[in-house]
Amino acid sequence: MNKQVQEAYIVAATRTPVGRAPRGMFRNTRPDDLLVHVLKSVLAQVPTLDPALVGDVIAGCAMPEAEQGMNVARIALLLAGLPHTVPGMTVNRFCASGLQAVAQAADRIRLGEAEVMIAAGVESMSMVPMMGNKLAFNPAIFENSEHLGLAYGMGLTAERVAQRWKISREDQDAFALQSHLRALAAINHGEFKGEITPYLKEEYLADLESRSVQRSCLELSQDEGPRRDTSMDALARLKAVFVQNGTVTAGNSSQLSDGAAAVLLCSGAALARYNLTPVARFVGFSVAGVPPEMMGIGPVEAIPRVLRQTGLHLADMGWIELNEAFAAQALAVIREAGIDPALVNPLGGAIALGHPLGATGCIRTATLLHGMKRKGQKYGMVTMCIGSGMGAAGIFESL
Amino acid sequence: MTIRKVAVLGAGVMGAQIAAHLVNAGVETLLFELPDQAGEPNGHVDRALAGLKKLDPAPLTSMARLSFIQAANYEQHLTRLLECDLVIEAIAERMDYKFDLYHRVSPFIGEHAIFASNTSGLSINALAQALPARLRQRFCGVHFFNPPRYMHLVELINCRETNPVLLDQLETFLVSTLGKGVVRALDTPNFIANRIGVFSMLATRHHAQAFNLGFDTVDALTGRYLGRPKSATFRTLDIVGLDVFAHVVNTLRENLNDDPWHKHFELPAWFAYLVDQGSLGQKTQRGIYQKIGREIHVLDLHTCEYRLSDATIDEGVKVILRDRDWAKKLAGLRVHAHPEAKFLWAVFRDVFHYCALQLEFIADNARDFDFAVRWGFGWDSGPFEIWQAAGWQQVAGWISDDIAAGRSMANTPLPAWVTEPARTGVHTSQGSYSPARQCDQPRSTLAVYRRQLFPDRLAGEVCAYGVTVFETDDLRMWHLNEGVAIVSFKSKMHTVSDALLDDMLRVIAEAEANFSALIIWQSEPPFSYGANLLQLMQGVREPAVHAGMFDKFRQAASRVKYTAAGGASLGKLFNAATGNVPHVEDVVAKFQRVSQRLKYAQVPTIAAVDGLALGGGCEFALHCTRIVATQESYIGLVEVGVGLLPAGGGCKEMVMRASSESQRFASDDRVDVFPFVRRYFQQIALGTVARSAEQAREMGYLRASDRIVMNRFELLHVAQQEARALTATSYCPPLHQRQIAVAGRTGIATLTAAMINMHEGGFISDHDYEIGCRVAAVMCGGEVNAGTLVDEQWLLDLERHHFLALLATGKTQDRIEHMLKHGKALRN
Repeated sequence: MNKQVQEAYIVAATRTPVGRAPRGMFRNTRPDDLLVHVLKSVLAQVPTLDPALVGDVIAGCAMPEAEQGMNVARIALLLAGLPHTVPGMTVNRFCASGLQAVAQAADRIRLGEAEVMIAAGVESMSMVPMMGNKLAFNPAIFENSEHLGLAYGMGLTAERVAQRWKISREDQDAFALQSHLRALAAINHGEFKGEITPYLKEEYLADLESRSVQRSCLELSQDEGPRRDTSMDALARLKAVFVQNGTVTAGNSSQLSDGAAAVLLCSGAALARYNLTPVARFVGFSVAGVPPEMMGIGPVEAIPRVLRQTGLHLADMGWIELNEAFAAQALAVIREAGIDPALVNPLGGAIALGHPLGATGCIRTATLLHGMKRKGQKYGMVTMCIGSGMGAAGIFESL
Repeated sequence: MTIRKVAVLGAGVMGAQIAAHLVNAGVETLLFELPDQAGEPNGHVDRALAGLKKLDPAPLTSMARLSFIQAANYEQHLTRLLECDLVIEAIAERMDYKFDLYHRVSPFIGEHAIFASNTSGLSINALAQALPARLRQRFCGVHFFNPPRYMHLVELINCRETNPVLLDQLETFLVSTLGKGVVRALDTPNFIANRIGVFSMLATRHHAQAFNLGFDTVDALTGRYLGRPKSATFRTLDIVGLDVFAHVVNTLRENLNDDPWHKHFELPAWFAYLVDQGSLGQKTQRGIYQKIGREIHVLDLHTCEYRLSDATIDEGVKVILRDRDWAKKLAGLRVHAHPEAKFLWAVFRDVFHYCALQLEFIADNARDFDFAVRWGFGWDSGPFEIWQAAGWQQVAGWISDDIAAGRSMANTPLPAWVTEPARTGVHTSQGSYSPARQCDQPRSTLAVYRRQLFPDRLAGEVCAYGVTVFETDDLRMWHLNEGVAIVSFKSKMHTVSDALLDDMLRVIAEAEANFSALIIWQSEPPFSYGANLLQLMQGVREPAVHAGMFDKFRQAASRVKYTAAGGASLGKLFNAATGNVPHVEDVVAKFQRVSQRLKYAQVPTIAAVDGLALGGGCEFALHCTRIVATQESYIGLVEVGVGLLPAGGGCKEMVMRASSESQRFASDDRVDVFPFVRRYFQQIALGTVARSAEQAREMGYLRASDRIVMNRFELLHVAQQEARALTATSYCPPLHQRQIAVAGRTGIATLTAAMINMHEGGFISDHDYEIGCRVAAVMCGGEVNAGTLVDEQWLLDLERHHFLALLATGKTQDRIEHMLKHGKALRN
């Protein structure tokens, strides 16, 4: 089954705290600056490694344009101080972009064509809106009803999933509340301390009193999304936004967010050569397609595929990071794939922690690897649904 | 002195809204409150400003205006008062509070500035005592009505020392800059409008009890039937607030001991009970009325419970009330045996009686008096106007009889001037009667009123609208000897029929031949409700060539039905029945032709818009060289409401604007028209109507060159000035645009995607979706490549094609039929 020539190991994983968009703590922070920060941070965790040895920097981004356009990976790596000999590329698989970057970086190593790689993910939904700055659908989509799903908003697809898999409003709200409660508990217990590298935010504002530019610095180290004031009552009061009398609300959907993450991978040979300690081994990754109008169910196809590929079983997993695009799809996936709900998102998910589209895959990889290490677990999975109807799943072995 | 900067003291309901209206008018404004000891020093003002956003009806013409109100507090910013030309005090109605504040601020009122109180009840002369003598000359009362953006009235009250020059300056500012109707009132409790309005309510309540009528019945009788707001008497009380009303009545009772009606300045026990209970009206969701679910319930004094409100009134009384002739109406009510009729006569009698006695004490003349009540309470006619229209001597005789018989609320006889044998009323073309001066007082000669070519009129005044050029059933073309032609529509709601389109073509040709400019101006709002839907429906039901006799009969029958629904004349019914109606496609093409003629006429064309300019009315305005609009203009392309789309050039015009905007904002010659056209698409697809001229500007219906006028009576004057300016600068019509960039197929696809989501989400119906797709097709220039360049005719052809396709659908016809029958949009 396994045709790789060598193993790929993760030696460092870190992320920024996640801010709310479009009016949150990173509203004035450029995404490429966030990416620069995580690239520097991840390299700082392996001080013995010469950055010139990095074979490629692959960054995931779901709307790679404007402030995060122009191949943001290459721009950020140079701004982060890596030598110009290190190349960089941006990949886009929407919400799985960050995980795709990890898998692609691992693949270069597993093929024997690279020794050291950096995978990353970045998204500022404050600066680049969902669907980008210029939306321009192909008229051919509307010529044939089977393609109409491509035009569906994500919320509408979540309603379709809720309908088809009979996920009630109450179950969705309860799931959302649990996400917040878990996230708040995790913050209280300092569970994210290891994975977050605090970000020193610099802002330049006009001070009209003193007639001068006021530069302010603020260290940010905590996710902004979790709400202490939420409750079943508060969630129940929210109106469905995508379908008249529907079940999907702003409260049981993921938040719009800003954030970035990076992971450093290397081969076994490199571990020995540079005296590095691995955190985890990359085991496998898989993607699969589903009907676009049912996009949220994607992981149900991707998960069995990656298990088949790796020869593992769901029962082997000790921790599953299942991205909460919507409570409706997360619950449908849990039920349909037969996942033990107790293993899913023990520290909360995107409903509370936020979902900076292209960064999420890498952010949750960092969460999983740090978490499994703390809890002494062996196998874990990062999985998510993907706009236009796909699912992705990656498996890691904690070392 | 020109008033350029104003401070408002007090950020309560009135203060904040007055500040809002000042910035609506573009006046620099500071809003003062006490400093917030707990948080931000301007916290109180900031919260009041946030509250303005939630008020309905909106006090601001645009949310963007809010940021122009500068927050200030008495601790940090008193010196800024020195910058202001006018300071309006609008704090709580307590003499002690006001005295304290006056002591505090008077050193900071500029040497040139006017200081005015917005008090509604306190004596201006008494308040003046708190001020140093030098400031009293610059002190007066300026009483706005709630809501100040919408209520036309401002009462201006001088104290003994007020310098009359300053009052004139203030009146000029209030009238022209703020667009208000100013009435000079004497310094008596509650001034004019509230004094009379409140007495009318008290009299209404008094007689309602005497004739044992429920609140709902009284409101049904005293609302639109009498030319007053729908909220009539008790619903108005709920809106005002029962506590506020109690306070006002209290002011009357405490200050008017010599008033012959003094014993009636009382409120009944149930009133105090409601106030004690906290049932204060609208603001507490319960007062005399209460909304339960969708039902309106009313307090029943017999059971002391709320019951379903019932607006039915006696049929016989209704017949009398429907008569538009006040003479017949009052005579009918007086002799009718039903208690509802007796009640109404009694109220009229006592209100007339009260007005006749109080006129000389509270106002200079009857014109000020009637305007105050009309503009402050929204009555169509003032009390003296009604009396005069009903026959002065006749009504005076009836009142005197009732006084003699002891039926009236007070037994003081009518003043002598009322019953002078030669008197036929109080309003004549020479002026309005002033009992104090014992003569007819002409209108103010203040320069600002020269801007009002046709000021608000009183019954009894005659008005000649210039020299007629020609006149048809649908419009009149005329002029004021200034070389500028004016056209005014005569149709109901100023709708546009096929005949009016023909007339307009003639008007434009006539203007080009003999005048320097053309103004479209209506003597009353609305500007226009758009196309005559009735005629459209008739055209649609035109018998098809192969239709059998039965079909022809059925179609004729339905034409008659629609015609009747629109309240048409017998002649029109006959035309409808015989199929003698214009072909729809021709009418639409003609509409476009008129729009294009307005745009490309050899003389400038000016749309003077006031009130609603909807659909075709909006399209006419969009094509004129200039729009001069009053701030209270409500402009929108609302065709989707009846299942259609703008086809009189409205879509075309907005696409052209989008195209030129995209070219202006293009970088490196890469033109992307889509983001610009999307905005206009949304407005048209949702049928959004601008809630002010300012908002119409934000929505792109008004261009930078179009003008906004605050006072609707100045509209024609400004339009004429605009015409003159255009003519003086050698007017040339615009050149024909042949390079209009459109969003094409990709644009249609992207708009379709948005509509699919709304349709699938159940937010829009199948027919909404169809209409939306057709609007998208027109707005994107059809199935062409994005960025394709087209000309105007290309877009006009698309408009017509999709308009006719929609009109052919049953659901669109149902929408039109529903609108004609019920005056409301049908969602199907």
